[in-house]
Amino acid sequence: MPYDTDRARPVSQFAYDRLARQASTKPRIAIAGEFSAGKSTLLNLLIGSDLLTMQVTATDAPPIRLCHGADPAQWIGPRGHRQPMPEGGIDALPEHCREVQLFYEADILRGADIIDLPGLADPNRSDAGAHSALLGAHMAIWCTPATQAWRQSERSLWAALPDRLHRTGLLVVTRADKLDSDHERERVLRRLRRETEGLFSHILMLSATRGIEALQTRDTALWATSGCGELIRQITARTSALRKARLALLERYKVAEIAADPEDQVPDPAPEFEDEGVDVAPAAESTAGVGILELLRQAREAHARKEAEATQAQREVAPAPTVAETEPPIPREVEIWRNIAAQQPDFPGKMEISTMIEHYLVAISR
Amino acid sequence: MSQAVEATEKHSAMPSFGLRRMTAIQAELDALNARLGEAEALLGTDAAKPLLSLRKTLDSLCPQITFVGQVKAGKTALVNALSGRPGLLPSDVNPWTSVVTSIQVNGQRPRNVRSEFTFFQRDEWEDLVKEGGRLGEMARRAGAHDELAEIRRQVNAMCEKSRARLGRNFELLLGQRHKYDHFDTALIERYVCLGDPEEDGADRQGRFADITRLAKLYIDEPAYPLPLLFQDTPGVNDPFLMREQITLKSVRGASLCVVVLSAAQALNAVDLALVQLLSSMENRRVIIFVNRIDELDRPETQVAEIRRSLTRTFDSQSLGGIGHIIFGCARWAEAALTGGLEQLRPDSRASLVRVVEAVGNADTPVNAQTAWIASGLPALQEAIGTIVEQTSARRVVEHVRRKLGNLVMGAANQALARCEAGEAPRSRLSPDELEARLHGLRLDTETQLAGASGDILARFDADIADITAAFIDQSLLALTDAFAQGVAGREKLDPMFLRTRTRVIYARAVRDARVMNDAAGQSASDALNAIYGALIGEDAGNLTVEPPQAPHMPPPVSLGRTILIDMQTPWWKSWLGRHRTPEALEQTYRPLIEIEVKGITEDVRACIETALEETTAAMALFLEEQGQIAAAIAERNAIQTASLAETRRLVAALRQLHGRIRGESDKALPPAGAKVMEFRNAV
Ligand SMILES: Nc1nc2c(ncn2[C@@H]2O[C@H](COP(=O)(O)OP(=O)(O)OP(=O)(O)O)[C@@H](O)[C@H]2O)c(=O)[nH]1
Ligand SMILES: Nc1nc2c(ncn2[C@@H]2O[C@H](COP(=O)(O)OP(=O)(O)OP(=O)(O)O)[C@@H](O)[C@H]2O)c(=O)[nH]1
Ligand SMILES: [Mg+2]
Ligand SMILES: [Mg+2]
Repeated sequence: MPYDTDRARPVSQFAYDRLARQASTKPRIAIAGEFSAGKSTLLNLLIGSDLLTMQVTATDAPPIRLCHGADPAQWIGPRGHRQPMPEGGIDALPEHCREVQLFYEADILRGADIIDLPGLADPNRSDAGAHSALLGAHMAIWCTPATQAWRQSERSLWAALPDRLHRTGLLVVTRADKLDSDHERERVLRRLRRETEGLFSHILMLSATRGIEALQTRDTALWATSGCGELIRQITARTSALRKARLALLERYKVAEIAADPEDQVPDPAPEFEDEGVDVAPAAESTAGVGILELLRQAREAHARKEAEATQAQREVAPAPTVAETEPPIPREVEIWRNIAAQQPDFPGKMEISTMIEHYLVAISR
Repeated sequence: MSQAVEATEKHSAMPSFGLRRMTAIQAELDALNARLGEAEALLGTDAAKPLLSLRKTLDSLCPQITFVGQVKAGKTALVNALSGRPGLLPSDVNPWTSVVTSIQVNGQRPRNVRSEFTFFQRDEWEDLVKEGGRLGEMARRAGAHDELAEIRRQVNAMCEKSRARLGRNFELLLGQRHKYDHFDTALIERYVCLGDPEEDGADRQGRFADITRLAKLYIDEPAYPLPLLFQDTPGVNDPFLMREQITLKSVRGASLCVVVLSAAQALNAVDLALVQLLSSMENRRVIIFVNRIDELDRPETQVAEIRRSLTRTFDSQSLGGIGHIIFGCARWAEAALTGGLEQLRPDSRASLVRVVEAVGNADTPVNAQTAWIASGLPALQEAIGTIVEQTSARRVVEHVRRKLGNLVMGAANQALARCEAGEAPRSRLSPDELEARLHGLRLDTETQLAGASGDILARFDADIADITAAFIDQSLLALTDAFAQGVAGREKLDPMFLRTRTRVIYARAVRDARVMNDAAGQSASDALNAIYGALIGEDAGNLTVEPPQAPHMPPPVSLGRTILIDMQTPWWKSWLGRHRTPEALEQTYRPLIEIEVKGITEDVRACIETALEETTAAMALFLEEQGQIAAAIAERNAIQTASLAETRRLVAALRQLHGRIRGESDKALPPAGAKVMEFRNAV
């Protein structure tokens, strides 16, 4: 049955809150590719530091997520527990570490978290970790070296990913400096356009080493030819588009009464949000593998229980409220959005948020 | 006169640092050739035919060195440099080589032919077009519809392209062969490269490429002491799936394989699979060449880092037997040959300077010589020489030496018998008695070989049945696991298990066959020596016949054949997706895997059977030849010798020659060029 994208979709209050939370998290951009493709070099360039290890052989590290801020680094275990980084740094992490989070105050991280994935096709480690992190991203950048670009192993891996990643995906051809002429670069690009039709939204070629050199020497001409500026433009444009799109999608959801059989009422799964994996809903972390339907059902039940308890407590302790009964409380989620919007004047989805709040208030007052 | 050939004449001669091993092999061949000459002089027209055939065997030695690796590793550039002809075969920044292309350096060639291009046979082509070849067949059986559709799409596009390039009736060309008495870049491009549809001249580049199966060029390169055949192949891991099939087939006749890696991403999972595949055949015949070290920023330290990582991976994959890992750069080799060090890109040149300084010292000049050494080509040549010396050259030399020794010895015995007949005719063994003994010997040998062959095959069958069962069980377990976890379980489902085990069983059969051959050969030659003793008395005692060598049993190609289970994750995914229960999965999986495994094991068994038959045939031929010599001695009717003294001198000369032939086989080759070794260790 095709998924209906036009009709308004009634959901329970709790489900709505959850979807709203998902829609407003920062997008995650994954940088993927085979090992030594130049992923870490590229990301270091984007944040203007040398935080990440760059080396000629495969780097042995878990996915590293860069977030905006100055918090101390932490790592995340298989069940979602956050823990401070061990003394010895990345090398001292236990085997089961699922992700490392580093905080850094770089502009590009304001709009999105960026994850440096471990290299694929490394004969000494399985692709599974990188693969699942890739599935949990909102957008992916695939790095391929210009001198050996786009081989079958890359193609088969990328082609097997869900279409949503293809639609927003960016193919970055690194090491452009290792090709001998513009003519050669043009020919490689032409082949890639032919061979990746429908698999990426855009292809661009760049040289991270030239970009870094340009930054160090403040050489604007070199910066322009390195292709790195173009990448930053593409990423920023995409993150704001991504946020807008995600918030717009939420508009179709309406909170409805929970019927006797909740499963009849709540449309599920919501494909536009099903990519959420890593840290969105706390419940999801410990119940990985359980279907989304089941998760929603559990969540609804828990919510209903809590509410019942709360009303019970209110009845017992507090006197009957007067005004509050007619005016529904402002949902926590809306408060959060308002805060975000207030703190960041150029927050990309501002308009949409306010419309959404209206929608929301209208919906719950009915 | 062609462009390419003219261009090469401007090249400076190829330095010979790396050719000492090959020179030593050639010296050995020359010595043997000289013995053949001496034998011809002593034996006259009687032995002309067998001697000529031995000489032909020696002259036809032309080890084949096949270069494989991922797309754009630099195989073509490397083959060009190694042939001393930079730019001869077309190389490019996009996937390019589409035909297995051989360059024969020196040696025999057909008259007036410098280049020859063989098209597919009609049935091969039709199989490819209709079924997508073996890949298509596997995809169909696995039900990998997407993959099958992709193969179909590529094949259709290929046919369309050929039709556009060659006209509607292009299929009439199939089965043909184009020969030229010259070659040049444009001519070669027409047959062997993929071509770029969006580039000028695309109609000429790759015009015949899709229907060409083999290309061969003949060049003369005086620097090489030996004839050699360098074989360039299409890269593996190319999105154009058909190219890979071509490559894996071409490894067949190779004396040794050079796996070319790119330093920037040395050894990814695909490379490793390739190395495993080749080693499952014979790992002492594999050389790893890590190319493009000029693309490293700090090659002098990074090379060591890469080497450590490679050996670690090889060790952990039980591939420790790979003895040759060489680092280098085809670009530097090209520059060294053309004398154009200034034309190197600045970063490539900077890396060269760093390497030369690190290996030599600050005063070491950066010139064509040092660039050639740094390019790793001399080390590669030495490694090739070492392996050839231990394999194909050793075999040919040993074969010729044994045959020649027996021939000379037979002649000496005949002459001796003639002398005796002239002096004091006394028959120790009548022709009838001799025939009876020979007949008995033939029967004994035959029985012995038949019994041993039966044992070897029975043991093989039992072992193979065991590992097949184990493999299928293990795979099913892995699949069920993967099913439970909802992930594609390719990593756990290891076709290498099957290959390695089968290889071990095959190796044992090879060893058993050798033991069988040597035992039967030993008892046969003991019996023959006794017969000679009986025929000519004590004098025969110090000349003995040598039995034939055990047959060469190269590992069967089917061990290296891609099988269904090698295919990538998407296939498994779609498979897992279409089955609701592990039981259902097992039901489809078991027969599939059984067919695949059977395909391999039957082929391996056939190889063993053939080798055993060959052993029996070679032994029969040996007994036949020796029987004829003995019969001639027993007849003693060749007594028209003018002078007895002359015959005695002949006997002495033949015996002396025999001694030299036998003596040389123990002589070891001198060690490899010290300079190159030193450099290799340093890098
Ligand atoms: N010339 C050149 N070298 C580059 C470029 N980008 C990266 N490199 C080099 O490529 C090598 C590998 O880079 P990394 O950034 O470590 O690659 P990676 O993709 O993060 O590798 P893994 O973490 O192992 O998956 C390093 O030696 C870099 O210096 C580029 O644009 N040009
Ligand atoms: N910098 C550098 N470039 C190289 C080296 N060897 C080859 N190249 C370049 O790499 C590109 C690919 O080389 P090829 O020889 O065509 O590679 P190949 O492995 O034959 O590729 P396919 O035939 O397509 O599989 C060409 O542009 C070569 O000039 C090297 O050692 N250093
Ligand atoms: Mg990295
Ligand atoms: Mg090539």
